[in-house]
Amino acid sequence: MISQISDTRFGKLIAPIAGLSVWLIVALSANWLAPFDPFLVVGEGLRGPSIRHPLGTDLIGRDLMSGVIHGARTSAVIVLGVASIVVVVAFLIGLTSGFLGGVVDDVLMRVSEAFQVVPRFFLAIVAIAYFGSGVDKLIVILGLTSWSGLARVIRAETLSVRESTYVEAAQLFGSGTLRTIFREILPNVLPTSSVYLMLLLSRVLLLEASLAFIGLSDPGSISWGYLAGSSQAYLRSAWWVALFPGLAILLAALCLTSVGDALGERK
Amino acid sequence: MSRYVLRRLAQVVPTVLGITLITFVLVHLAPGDPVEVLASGNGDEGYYSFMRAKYRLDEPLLVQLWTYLTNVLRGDLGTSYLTGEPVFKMITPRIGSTLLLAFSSIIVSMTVGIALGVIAALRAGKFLDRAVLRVSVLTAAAPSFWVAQVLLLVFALRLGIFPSDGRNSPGFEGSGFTRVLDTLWHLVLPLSVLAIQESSTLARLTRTGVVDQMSEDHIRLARAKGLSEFKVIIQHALRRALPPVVTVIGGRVGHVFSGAVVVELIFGWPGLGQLILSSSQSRDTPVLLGVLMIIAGAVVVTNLLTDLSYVLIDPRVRLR
Repeated sequence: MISQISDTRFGKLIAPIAGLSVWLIVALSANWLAPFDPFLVVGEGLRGPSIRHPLGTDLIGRDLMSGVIHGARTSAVIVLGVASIVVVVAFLIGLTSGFLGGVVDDVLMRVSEAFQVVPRFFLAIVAIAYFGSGVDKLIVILGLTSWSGLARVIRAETLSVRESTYVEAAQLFGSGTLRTIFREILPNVLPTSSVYLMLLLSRVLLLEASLAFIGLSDPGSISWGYLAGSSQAYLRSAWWVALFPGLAILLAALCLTSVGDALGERK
Repeated sequence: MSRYVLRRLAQVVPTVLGITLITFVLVHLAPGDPVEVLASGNGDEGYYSFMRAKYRLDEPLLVQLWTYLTNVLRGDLGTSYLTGEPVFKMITPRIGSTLLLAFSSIIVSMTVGIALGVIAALRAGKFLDRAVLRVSVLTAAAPSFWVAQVLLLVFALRLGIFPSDGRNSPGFEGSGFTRVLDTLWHLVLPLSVLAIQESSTLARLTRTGVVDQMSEDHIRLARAKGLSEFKVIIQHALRRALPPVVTVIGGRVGHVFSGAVVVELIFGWPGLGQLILSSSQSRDTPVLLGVLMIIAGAVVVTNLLTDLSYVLIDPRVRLR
Protein backbone atom coordinates (compact mmCIF):
# COMPACT_ATOMS: atom_id res chain seq x y z
CA MET A 1 0.00 0.00 0.00
CA ILE A 2 2.66 2.45 1.07
CA SER A 3 4.90 1.57 -1.87
CA GLN A 4 1.91 2.00 -4.20
CA ILE A 5 1.33 5.56 -3.06
CA SER A 6 4.95 6.57 -3.27
CA ASP A 7 5.03 5.00 -6.74
CA THR A 8 2.39 7.41 -8.02
CA ARG A 9 4.22 10.23 -6.28
CA PHE A 10 7.39 9.18 -8.05
CA GLY A 11 5.49 8.94 -11.32
CA LYS A 12 4.28 12.48 -10.96
CA LEU A 13 7.83 13.68 -10.40
CA ILE A 14 9.29 12.10 -13.55
CA ALA A 15 7.76 14.43 -16.15
CA PRO A 16 8.50 17.77 -14.43
CA ILE A 17 12.02 16.69 -13.41
CA ALA A 18 12.68 15.64 -17.01
CA GLY A 19 11.37 19.03 -18.12
CA LEU A 20 13.63 20.88 -15.70
CA SER A 21 16.61 18.80 -16.88
CA VAL A 22 15.90 19.69 -20.51
CA TRP A 23 15.70 23.36 -19.51
CA LEU A 24 19.04 23.11 -17.69
CA ILE A 25 20.75 21.24 -20.55
CA VAL A 26 19.50 23.78 -23.09
CA ALA A 27 20.67 26.59 -20.82
CA LEU A 28 24.14 25.07 -20.42
CA SER A 29 24.65 24.30 -24.11
CA ALA A 30 22.83 27.29 -25.62
CA ASN A 31 25.91 28.29 -27.61
CA TRP A 32 26.07 24.92 -29.38
CA LEU A 33 22.33 24.28 -29.66
CA ALA A 34 21.28 27.64 -31.08
CA PRO A 35 21.56 27.63 -34.89
CA PHE A 36 22.37 31.36 -34.97
CA ASP A 37 23.60 34.19 -32.78
CA PRO A 38 20.36 35.50 -31.20
CA PHE A 39 21.45 39.12 -31.68
CA LEU A 40 22.43 38.74 -35.32
CA VAL A 41 20.22 39.58 -38.28
CA VAL A 42 20.24 36.33 -40.28
CA GLY A 43 17.20 36.54 -42.53
CA GLU A 44 14.23 38.60 -43.59
CA GLY A 45 12.12 40.20 -40.86
CA LEU A 46 8.80 38.78 -39.62
CA ARG A 47 8.94 35.48 -41.51
CA GLY A 48 6.76 32.66 -40.15
CA PRO A 49 8.11 29.27 -39.06
CA SER A 50 10.14 27.57 -41.80
CA ILE A 51 12.79 24.86 -42.05
CA ARG A 52 15.62 27.36 -41.77
CA HIS A 53 13.88 29.23 -38.92
CA PRO A 54 11.65 26.67 -37.12
CA LEU A 55 10.08 29.36 -34.90
CA GLY A 56 10.21 32.19 -37.45
CA THR A 57 12.09 35.48 -37.32
CA ASP A 58 11.45 38.74 -35.46
CA LEU A 59 10.99 42.27 -36.76
CA ILE A 60 14.55 42.83 -37.93
CA GLY A 61 15.19 39.25 -39.02
CA ARG A 62 16.81 37.61 -35.98
CA ASP A 63 16.21 33.87 -35.55
CA LEU A 64 13.53 33.33 -32.90
CA MET A 65 14.55 29.77 -32.05
CA SER A 66 18.05 30.94 -31.16
CA GLY A 67 16.43 33.64 -29.04
CA VAL A 68 14.28 31.15 -27.17
CA ILE A 69 17.27 28.85 -26.59
CA HIS A 70 19.39 31.67 -25.22
CA GLY A 71 16.39 32.87 -23.20
CA ALA A 72 16.45 29.51 -21.41
CA ARG A 73 19.94 30.37 -20.17
CA THR A 74 18.95 33.84 -18.93
CA SER A 75 15.90 32.50 -17.07
CA ALA A 76 17.86 29.62 -15.56
CA VAL A 77 20.59 31.94 -14.31
CA ILE A 78 18.04 34.31 -12.77
CA VAL A 79 15.93 31.58 -11.15
CA LEU A 80 18.98 29.79 -9.71
CA GLY A 81 20.50 33.06 -8.51
CA VAL A 82 17.30 34.19 -6.83
CA ALA A 83 16.88 30.71 -5.34
CA SER A 84 20.27 30.86 -3.65
CA ILE A 85 19.63 34.29 -2.13
CA VAL A 86 16.12 33.36 -1.01
CA VAL A 87 17.23 30.06 0.53
CA VAL A 88 20.05 31.66 2.55
CA VAL A 89 18.01 34.64 3.80
CA ALA A 90 14.79 32.70 4.43
CA PHE A 91 16.48 29.85 6.34
CA LEU A 92 18.56 32.26 8.39
CA ILE A 93 15.56 34.36 9.38
CA GLY A 94 13.02 31.55 9.61
CA LEU A 95 15.18 29.25 11.76
CA THR A 96 16.36 32.09 14.02
CA SER A 97 12.85 33.43 14.45
CA GLY A 98 11.30 30.06 15.15
CA PHE A 99 14.05 28.71 17.39
CA LEU A 100 14.75 31.78 19.53
CA GLY A 101 11.19 33.15 19.69
CA GLY A 102 10.46 36.19 21.86
CA VAL A 103 11.47 39.69 20.80
CA VAL A 104 13.74 38.50 17.97
CA ASP A 105 10.83 36.55 16.52
CA ASP A 106 8.49 39.55 16.83
CA VAL A 107 10.88 41.96 15.10
CA LEU A 108 11.81 39.57 12.28
CA MET A 109 8.20 38.70 11.58
CA ARG A 110 7.10 42.37 11.44
CA VAL A 111 9.93 43.04 8.96
CA SER A 112 8.86 40.09 6.81
CA GLU A 113 5.26 41.35 6.88
CA ALA A 114 6.35 44.74 5.55
CA PHE A 115 8.07 42.96 2.65
CA GLN A 116 4.95 40.90 1.98
CA VAL A 117 2.59 43.87 1.77
CA VAL A 118 4.57 45.91 -0.77
CA PRO A 119 3.69 44.48 -4.16
CA ARG A 120 6.97 42.99 -5.44
CA PHE A 121 6.31 43.87 -9.04
CA PHE A 122 6.18 47.61 -8.29
CA LEU A 123 9.15 47.48 -5.94
CA ALA A 124 11.11 45.77 -8.71
CA ILE A 125 10.07 48.41 -11.26
CA VAL A 126 11.38 51.18 -8.98
CA ALA A 127 14.58 49.31 -8.16
CA ILE A 128 15.33 48.55 -11.81
CA ALA A 129 14.51 52.09 -12.93
CA TYR A 130 16.98 53.56 -10.44
CA PHE A 131 19.67 50.90 -10.14
CA GLY A 132 19.73 49.49 -13.66
CA SER A 133 18.59 46.20 -15.12
CA GLY A 134 21.68 43.98 -15.35
CA VAL A 135 21.07 40.28 -14.69
CA ASP A 136 23.13 40.53 -11.48
CA LYS A 137 21.05 43.44 -10.20
CA LEU A 138 17.84 41.71 -11.19
CA ILE A 139 18.86 38.65 -9.16
CA VAL A 140 19.61 40.76 -6.08
CA ILE A 141 16.39 42.78 -6.42
CA LEU A 142 14.17 39.72 -6.90
CA GLY A 143 16.03 37.77 -4.21
CA LEU A 144 15.77 40.49 -1.58
CA THR A 145 12.04 40.98 -2.22
CA SER A 146 11.06 37.29 -2.38
CA TRP A 147 12.25 35.68 0.86
CA SER A 148 9.48 36.68 3.27
CA GLY A 149 6.91 33.99 2.48
CA LEU A 150 9.44 31.18 2.68
CA ALA A 151 10.88 32.57 5.93
CA ARG A 152 7.41 32.45 7.48
CA VAL A 153 6.87 28.86 6.37
CA ILE A 154 10.24 27.83 7.83
CA ARG A 155 9.49 29.67 11.08
CA ALA A 156 6.12 27.93 11.43
CA GLU A 157 7.69 24.51 10.78
CA THR A 158 10.53 25.24 13.23
CA LEU A 159 8.02 26.23 15.91
CA SER A 160 6.13 22.96 15.55
CA VAL A 161 9.31 20.85 15.58
CA ARG A 162 10.99 22.73 18.43
CA GLU A 163 8.52 21.44 21.01
CA SER A 164 8.81 17.80 19.95
CA THR A 165 10.23 15.18 22.30
CA TYR A 166 13.18 14.24 20.08
CA VAL A 167 14.48 17.81 20.07
CA GLU A 168 14.10 17.86 23.84
CA ALA A 169 15.92 14.54 24.03
CA ALA A 170 18.77 15.81 21.85
CA GLN A 171 19.19 18.84 24.08
CA LEU A 172 19.10 16.66 27.20
CA PHE A 173 21.98 14.70 25.74
CA GLY A 174 23.96 17.92 25.51
CA SER A 175 23.41 18.89 21.89
CA GLY A 176 24.27 22.57 21.41
CA THR A 177 22.00 25.12 19.72
CA LEU A 178 23.65 24.98 16.29
CA ARG A 179 23.91 21.21 16.38
CA THR A 180 20.24 20.90 17.35
CA ILE A 181 19.23 23.22 14.54
CA PHE A 182 21.25 21.44 11.87
CA ARG A 183 20.81 17.84 13.01
CA GLU A 184 17.28 17.81 14.39
CA ILE A 185 15.30 20.78 13.09
CA LEU A 186 16.60 21.43 9.58
CA PRO A 187 15.88 17.92 8.22
CA ASN A 188 12.28 18.19 9.41
CA VAL A 189 11.78 21.66 8.02
CA LEU A 190 13.13 20.77 4.56
CA PRO A 191 10.17 18.87 3.00
CA THR A 192 7.52 21.58 3.47
CA SER A 193 9.88 24.41 2.66
CA SER A 194 11.10 22.80 -0.56
CA VAL A 195 7.49 22.51 -1.75
CA TYR A 196 7.01 26.20 -1.06
CA LEU A 197 10.35 27.08 -2.66
CA MET A 198 9.38 25.47 -5.97
CA LEU A 199 6.12 27.44 -6.11
CA LEU A 200 8.03 30.58 -5.18
CA LEU A 201 10.55 30.04 -7.98
CA SER A 202 7.81 29.63 -10.57
CA ARG A 203 6.43 32.98 -9.42
CA VAL A 204 9.90 34.55 -9.65
CA LEU A 205 10.18 33.25 -13.22
CA LEU A 206 6.82 34.80 -14.13
CA LEU A 207 7.70 38.05 -12.37
CA GLU A 208 11.00 38.36 -14.22
CA ALA A 209 9.19 37.61 -17.49
CA SER A 210 6.63 40.36 -16.84
CA LEU A 211 9.38 42.87 -16.05
CA ALA A 212 11.24 41.95 -19.23
CA PHE A 213 7.98 42.11 -21.18
CA ILE A 214 7.44 45.76 -20.26
CA GLY A 215 11.02 46.51 -21.28
CA LEU A 216 12.89 46.25 -17.97
CA SER A 217 15.34 43.46 -18.80
CA ASP A 218 19.10 43.33 -19.17
CA PRO A 219 19.80 44.78 -22.63
CA GLY A 220 22.88 42.54 -22.86
CA SER A 221 21.07 39.21 -22.74
CA ILE A 222 18.02 37.79 -24.50
CA SER A 223 15.17 36.66 -22.28
CA TRP A 224 11.79 35.07 -22.98
CA GLY A 225 9.90 38.02 -21.56
CA TYR A 226 11.88 40.45 -23.70
CA LEU A 227 11.14 38.45 -26.85
CA ALA A 228 7.42 38.37 -26.08
CA GLY A 229 7.42 42.08 -25.28
CA SER A 230 9.15 43.02 -28.50
CA SER A 231 6.38 41.29 -30.45
CA GLN A 232 3.61 43.46 -29.04
CA ALA A 233 3.72 46.17 -31.71
CA TYR A 234 3.24 43.77 -34.63
CA LEU A 235 1.15 41.07 -33.02
CA ARG A 236 -1.35 41.34 -35.85
CA SER A 237 1.11 40.22 -38.51
CA ALA A 238 3.48 37.95 -36.57
CA TRP A 239 1.76 35.74 -33.97
CA TRP A 240 4.77 33.42 -33.64
CA VAL A 241 7.00 35.99 -31.95
CA ALA A 242 4.44 36.22 -29.12
CA LEU A 243 3.46 32.56 -28.99
CA PHE A 244 6.73 30.64 -28.62
CA PRO A 245 8.62 32.62 -25.92
CA GLY A 246 5.43 32.68 -23.82
CA LEU A 247 5.01 28.94 -24.31
CA ALA A 248 8.58 28.40 -23.07
CA ILE A 249 7.81 30.41 -19.91
CA LEU A 250 4.57 28.48 -19.39
CA LEU A 251 6.33 25.10 -19.67
CA ALA A 252 9.19 26.11 -17.37
CA ALA A 253 6.81 27.50 -14.73
CA LEU A 254 4.64 24.39 -15.06
CA CYS A 255 7.65 22.11 -14.39
CA LEU A 256 8.56 24.08 -11.26
CA THR A 257 5.02 24.04 -9.83
CA SER A 258 4.53 20.37 -10.72
CA VAL A 259 7.69 19.36 -8.86
CA GLY A 260 6.36 21.33 -5.89
CA ASP A 261 2.91 19.74 -6.13
CA ALA A 262 4.33 16.23 -6.40
CA LEU A 263 6.66 16.76 -3.43
CA GLY A 264 3.83 18.22 -1.39
CA GLU A 265 1.37 15.41 -1.97
CA ARG A 266 0.41 13.70 1.26
CA LYS A 267 2.48 10.60 1.73
CA MET B 1 -16.31 42.83 16.86
CA SER B 2 -15.56 46.55 17.15
CA ARG B 3 -12.24 45.70 18.77
CA TYR B 4 -11.29 43.53 15.81
CA VAL B 5 -12.31 46.26 13.37
CA LEU B 6 -10.41 48.94 15.28
CA ARG B 7 -7.27 46.84 15.57
CA ARG B 8 -7.38 46.07 11.87
CA LEU B 9 -7.88 49.77 11.04
CA ALA B 10 -4.94 50.73 13.24
CA GLN B 11 -2.68 48.34 11.30
CA VAL B 12 -3.17 50.43 8.17
CA VAL B 13 -1.02 53.30 9.47
CA PRO B 14 2.28 51.42 9.98
CA THR B 15 1.75 49.52 6.72
CA VAL B 16 1.35 52.69 4.66
CA LEU B 17 4.27 54.31 6.49
CA GLY B 18 6.41 51.23 5.83
CA ILE B 19 5.60 51.20 2.13
CA THR B 20 6.39 54.92 1.80
CA LEU B 21 9.63 54.48 3.68
CA ILE B 22 10.83 51.54 1.58
CA THR B 23 10.07 53.17 -1.79
CA PHE B 24 11.29 56.62 -0.73
CA VAL B 25 14.61 55.37 0.62
CA LEU B 26 15.10 53.08 -2.39
CA VAL B 27 14.57 55.92 -4.84
CA HIS B 28 16.89 58.29 -3.01
CA LEU B 29 19.63 55.72 -2.44
CA ALA B 30 19.95 55.25 -6.17
CA PRO B 31 23.19 56.27 -7.85
CA GLY B 32 23.12 59.32 -10.10
CA ASP B 33 21.88 62.84 -9.45
CA PRO B 34 18.25 63.24 -10.61
CA VAL B 35 18.96 66.83 -11.62
CA GLU B 36 21.81 65.80 -13.91
CA VAL B 37 19.74 62.96 -15.34
CA LEU B 38 16.95 65.44 -16.10
CA ALA B 39 19.27 67.77 -17.97
CA SER B 40 20.92 64.69 -19.52
CA GLY B 41 24.25 66.14 -18.35
CA ASN B 42 23.89 69.32 -20.39
CA GLY B 43 23.35 71.88 -17.63
CA ASP B 44 25.94 73.89 -15.72
CA GLU B 45 26.52 74.01 -11.97
CA GLY B 46 24.34 77.10 -11.53
CA TYR B 47 21.38 75.38 -13.17
CA TYR B 48 21.87 72.25 -11.11
CA SER B 49 21.89 74.11 -7.81
CA PHE B 50 18.84 76.11 -8.91
CA MET B 51 16.95 72.91 -9.73
CA ARG B 52 18.11 71.24 -6.50
CA ALA B 53 16.80 74.17 -4.48
CA LYS B 54 13.56 74.25 -6.48
CA TYR B 55 12.77 70.60 -5.73
CA ARG B 56 14.40 70.86 -2.27
CA LEU B 57 16.85 68.09 -3.18
CA ASP B 58 19.63 69.94 -1.29
CA GLU B 59 18.06 69.16 2.07
CA PRO B 60 19.02 66.12 4.20
CA LEU B 61 17.15 62.91 3.29
CA LEU B 62 15.19 62.81 6.56
CA VAL B 63 13.95 66.36 6.06
CA GLN B 64 12.93 65.47 2.51
CA LEU B 65 11.08 62.41 3.76
CA TRP B 66 9.26 64.46 6.42
CA THR B 67 8.27 67.12 3.87
CA TYR B 68 7.07 64.43 1.48
CA LEU B 69 4.99 62.64 4.13
CA THR B 70 3.32 65.82 5.41
CA ASN B 71 2.59 66.91 1.84
CA VAL B 72 1.08 63.52 1.00
CA LEU B 73 -1.18 63.77 4.04
CA ARG B 74 -2.40 67.12 2.71
CA GLY B 75 -3.12 65.48 -0.66
CA ASP B 76 -0.11 67.06 -2.37
CA LEU B 77 1.99 64.52 -4.26
CA GLY B 78 4.41 67.10 -5.67
CA THR B 79 5.01 68.16 -9.26
CA SER B 80 6.51 66.26 -12.17
CA TYR B 81 10.22 66.90 -12.83
CA LEU B 82 9.53 66.70 -16.54
CA THR B 83 6.33 68.62 -17.18
CA GLY B 84 5.96 70.64 -13.99
CA GLU B 85 2.36 69.40 -13.76
CA PRO B 86 1.00 68.47 -10.32
CA VAL B 87 1.30 64.68 -9.92
CA PHE B 88 -2.20 64.51 -8.50
CA LYS B 89 -3.58 65.97 -11.71
CA MET B 90 -1.70 63.42 -13.81
CA ILE B 91 -3.07 60.54 -11.76
CA THR B 92 -6.75 61.46 -11.39
CA PRO B 93 -7.82 60.97 -15.03
CA ARG B 94 -6.19 57.51 -15.03
CA ILE B 95 -6.86 56.07 -11.59
CA GLY B 96 -10.52 55.32 -12.37
CA SER B 97 -9.64 53.05 -15.29
CA THR B 98 -7.13 51.05 -13.25
CA LEU B 99 -9.52 50.68 -10.31
CA LEU B 100 -12.35 49.66 -12.67
CA LEU B 101 -10.18 46.97 -14.24
CA ALA B 102 -8.76 45.67 -10.95
CA PHE B 103 -11.97 45.66 -8.92
CA SER B 104 -14.18 44.25 -11.65
CA SER B 105 -11.75 41.40 -12.16
CA ILE B 106 -11.62 40.71 -8.42
CA ILE B 107 -15.42 40.62 -8.22
CA VAL B 108 -15.79 38.43 -11.32
CA SER B 109 -13.09 36.01 -10.20
CA MET B 110 -14.61 35.73 -6.71
CA THR B 111 -18.03 34.90 -8.12
CA VAL B 112 -16.80 32.53 -10.81
CA GLY B 113 -14.03 31.00 -8.67
CA ILE B 114 -16.20 30.21 -5.65
CA ALA B 115 -19.05 28.89 -7.81
CA LEU B 116 -16.68 26.65 -9.80
CA GLY B 117 -15.05 25.49 -6.56
CA VAL B 118 -18.39 24.41 -5.08
CA ILE B 119 -19.40 22.64 -8.29
CA ALA B 120 -16.04 20.86 -8.41
CA ALA B 121 -16.42 19.83 -4.77
CA LEU B 122 -19.85 18.35 -5.50
CA ARG B 123 -18.33 16.36 -8.34
CA ALA B 124 -15.15 15.46 -6.42
CA GLY B 125 -13.06 12.99 -8.40
CA LYS B 126 -15.27 13.26 -11.50
CA PHE B 127 -14.48 14.83 -14.86
CA LEU B 128 -15.43 18.43 -14.04
CA ASP B 129 -13.44 18.38 -10.81
CA ARG B 130 -10.32 17.15 -12.56
CA ALA B 131 -10.82 19.66 -15.37
CA VAL B 132 -10.98 22.57 -12.91
CA LEU B 133 -7.81 21.32 -11.21
CA ARG B 134 -5.90 20.91 -14.50
CA VAL B 135 -6.95 24.30 -15.81
CA SER B 136 -6.00 26.03 -12.56
CA VAL B 137 -2.52 24.45 -12.63
CA LEU B 138 -2.08 25.63 -16.23
CA THR B 139 -3.30 29.19 -15.68
CA ALA B 140 -1.15 29.59 -12.57
CA ALA B 141 1.91 28.85 -14.72
CA ALA B 142 0.95 31.06 -17.67
CA PRO B 143 2.42 34.56 -17.82
CA SER B 144 -0.40 37.11 -17.86
CA PHE B 145 1.00 38.93 -20.90
CA TRP B 146 0.92 35.67 -22.83
CA VAL B 147 -2.71 34.97 -21.91
CA ALA B 148 -3.46 38.57 -22.92
CA GLN B 149 -1.71 38.22 -26.27
CA VAL B 150 -3.43 34.92 -27.04
CA LEU B 151 -6.89 36.32 -26.18
CA LEU B 152 -6.11 39.44 -28.21
CA LEU B 153 -5.01 37.38 -31.21
CA VAL B 154 -7.99 35.04 -31.14
CA PHE B 155 -10.92 37.18 -30.02
CA ALA B 156 -9.95 40.63 -31.28
CA LEU B 157 -7.69 40.17 -34.29
CA ARG B 158 -8.97 36.83 -35.76
CA LEU B 159 -12.62 36.66 -34.74
CA GLY B 160 -13.16 40.39 -34.25
CA ILE B 161 -15.70 39.81 -31.45
CA PHE B 162 -14.11 42.23 -29.01
CA PRO B 163 -12.14 45.47 -29.54
CA SER B 164 -8.35 45.21 -29.26
CA ASP B 165 -7.60 48.61 -27.85
CA GLY B 166 -8.74 51.40 -25.53
CA ARG B 167 -11.62 51.99 -23.13
CA ASN B 168 -14.10 53.39 -25.65
CA SER B 169 -14.44 53.08 -29.40
CA PRO B 170 -12.55 55.80 -31.28
CA GLY B 171 -14.74 58.86 -31.78
CA PHE B 172 -17.45 57.41 -29.54
CA GLU B 173 -20.05 60.12 -28.97
CA GLY B 174 -22.76 58.41 -26.95
CA SER B 175 -23.30 59.07 -23.29
CA GLY B 176 -25.04 57.48 -20.32
CA PHE B 177 -26.07 53.86 -20.77
CA THR B 178 -24.64 53.38 -24.28
CA ARG B 179 -21.28 54.67 -23.03
CA VAL B 180 -21.30 52.21 -20.14
CA LEU B 181 -22.07 49.39 -22.57
CA ASP B 182 -19.25 50.47 -24.85
CA THR B 183 -16.81 50.53 -21.91
CA LEU B 184 -17.97 47.10 -20.72
CA TRP B 185 -17.47 45.74 -24.23
CA HIS B 186 -13.88 47.04 -24.15
CA LEU B 187 -13.42 45.70 -20.62
CA VAL B 188 -14.22 42.06 -21.44
CA LEU B 189 -10.79 40.96 -22.72
CA PRO B 190 -8.52 42.77 -20.21
CA LEU B 191 -10.79 41.65 -17.38
CA SER B 192 -10.77 38.04 -18.63
CA VAL B 193 -6.97 37.89 -18.55
CA LEU B 194 -6.89 38.81 -14.87
CA ALA B 195 -10.02 36.85 -13.92
CA ILE B 196 -8.90 33.59 -15.59
CA GLN B 197 -5.86 33.37 -13.31
CA GLU B 198 -7.49 34.58 -10.11
CA SER B 199 -10.70 32.58 -10.44
CA SER B 200 -8.92 29.29 -11.05
CA THR B 201 -6.79 29.80 -7.93
CA LEU B 202 -9.90 30.57 -5.90
CA ALA B 203 -11.81 27.63 -7.41
CA ARG B 204 -9.06 25.23 -6.34
CA LEU B 205 -9.01 26.62 -2.79
CA THR B 206 -12.78 26.64 -2.42
CA ARG B 207 -12.97 23.09 -3.74
CA THR B 208 -10.43 21.81 -1.17
CA GLY B 209 -12.12 23.71 1.66
CA VAL B 210 -15.62 22.44 0.87
CA VAL B 211 -14.45 18.83 0.38
CA ASP B 212 -12.67 18.96 3.77
CA GLN B 213 -15.80 20.33 5.42
CA MET B 214 -18.10 17.68 3.96
CA SER B 215 -16.69 14.96 6.23
CA GLU B 216 -17.18 17.03 9.40
CA ASP B 217 -19.73 16.25 12.11
CA HIS B 218 -21.71 19.46 11.71
CA ILE B 219 -22.45 18.52 8.11
CA ARG B 220 -23.73 15.12 9.20
CA LEU B 221 -25.91 16.88 11.76
CA ALA B 222 -27.25 19.30 9.16
CA ARG B 223 -28.10 16.38 6.88
CA ALA B 224 -29.70 14.48 9.75
CA LYS B 225 -31.93 17.49 10.39
CA GLY B 226 -33.26 16.91 6.89
CA LEU B 227 -31.85 20.03 5.20
CA SER B 228 -31.66 19.92 1.44
CA GLU B 229 -28.23 19.11 0.02
CA PHE B 230 -28.07 22.61 -1.50
CA LYS B 231 -28.62 24.24 1.91
CA VAL B 232 -26.13 21.90 3.56
CA ILE B 233 -23.44 22.93 1.11
CA ILE B 234 -24.11 26.66 0.87
CA GLN B 235 -25.05 27.43 4.46
CA HIS B 236 -22.84 24.98 6.28
CA ALA B 237 -19.91 23.68 4.25
CA LEU B 238 -19.19 26.77 2.12
CA ARG B 239 -19.61 29.13 5.03
CA ARG B 240 -16.95 27.32 7.03
CA ALA B 241 -14.71 26.98 3.97
CA LEU B 242 -14.82 30.66 3.01
CA PRO B 243 -12.51 32.42 5.53
CA PRO B 244 -9.23 31.00 4.13
CA VAL B 245 -10.44 31.79 0.60
CA VAL B 246 -11.08 35.40 1.60
CA THR B 247 -7.61 35.62 3.15
CA VAL B 248 -6.12 34.51 -0.13
CA ILE B 249 -8.17 37.04 -2.10
CA GLY B 250 -6.83 39.78 0.16
CA GLY B 251 -3.28 38.54 -0.32
CA ARG B 252 -3.62 38.50 -4.09
CA VAL B 253 -4.79 42.08 -4.52
CA GLY B 254 -1.22 43.24 -5.11
CA HIS B 255 -0.90 40.52 -7.74
CA VAL B 256 -4.06 41.75 -9.48
CA PHE B 257 -2.74 45.31 -9.64
CA SER B 258 0.63 44.12 -11.00
CA GLY B 259 -1.21 42.10 -13.63
CA ALA B 260 -3.39 45.12 -14.42
CA VAL B 261 -0.32 47.20 -15.31
CA VAL B 262 0.85 44.65 -17.87
CA VAL B 263 -2.65 44.09 -19.25
CA GLU B 264 -3.20 47.85 -19.60
CA LEU B 265 -0.13 48.12 -21.79
CA ILE B 266 -1.28 45.32 -24.06
CA PHE B 267 -4.89 46.47 -24.46
CA GLY B 268 -4.17 50.20 -24.49
CA TRP B 269 -6.33 50.53 -21.37
CA PRO B 270 -5.88 54.16 -20.25
CA GLY B 271 -4.91 53.45 -16.63
CA LEU B 272 -1.83 54.00 -14.49
CA GLY B 273 0.29 51.36 -16.26
CA GLN B 274 1.57 53.67 -18.97
CA LEU B 275 2.32 56.37 -16.40
CA ILE B 276 4.37 53.97 -14.24
CA LEU B 277 6.37 52.87 -17.22
CA SER B 278 7.08 56.32 -18.65
CA SER B 279 7.94 57.84 -15.28
CA SER B 280 10.28 54.97 -14.39
CA GLN B 281 12.05 55.25 -17.74
CA SER B 282 12.53 59.01 -17.41
CA ARG B 283 13.25 58.79 -13.65
CA ASP B 284 10.49 61.27 -12.93
CA THR B 285 10.59 60.48 -9.20
CA PRO B 286 7.59 62.50 -7.95
CA VAL B 287 5.30 60.90 -10.53
CA LEU B 288 6.60 57.38 -9.92
CA LEU B 289 6.38 57.75 -6.12
CA GLY B 290 2.90 59.25 -6.45
CA VAL B 291 1.57 56.40 -8.58
CA LEU B 292 3.13 53.82 -6.27
CA MET B 293 1.59 55.50 -3.21
CA ILE B 294 -1.84 55.44 -4.86
CA ILE B 295 -1.52 51.78 -5.84
CA ALA B 296 -0.14 50.80 -2.43
CA GLY B 297 -3.07 52.67 -0.89
CA ALA B 298 -5.53 50.78 -3.08
CA VAL B 299 -3.90 47.46 -2.17
CA VAL B 300 -3.97 48.26 1.55
CA VAL B 301 -7.61 49.40 1.47
CA THR B 302 -8.71 46.31 -0.49
CA ASN B 303 -6.80 44.12 1.96
CA LEU B 304 -8.61 45.89 4.75
CA LEU B 305 -12.01 45.37 3.12
CA THR B 306 -11.43 41.63 2.66
CA ASP B 307 -10.28 41.31 6.26
CA LEU B 308 -13.32 43.23 7.49
CA SER B 309 -15.59 40.94 5.48
CA TYR B 310 -14.51 38.25 7.96
CA VAL B 311 -16.95 39.90 10.33
CA LEU B 312 -19.75 38.96 7.96
CA ILE B 313 -18.73 35.40 7.16
CA ASP B 314 -17.05 34.17 10.33
CA PRO B 315 -19.17 34.37 13.49
CA ARG B 316 -16.14 33.60 15.68
CA VAL B 317 -14.59 36.95 14.71
CA ARG B 318 -17.86 38.75 15.36
CA LEU B 319 -18.01 37.52 18.94
CA ARG B 320 -14.49 38.54 19.84
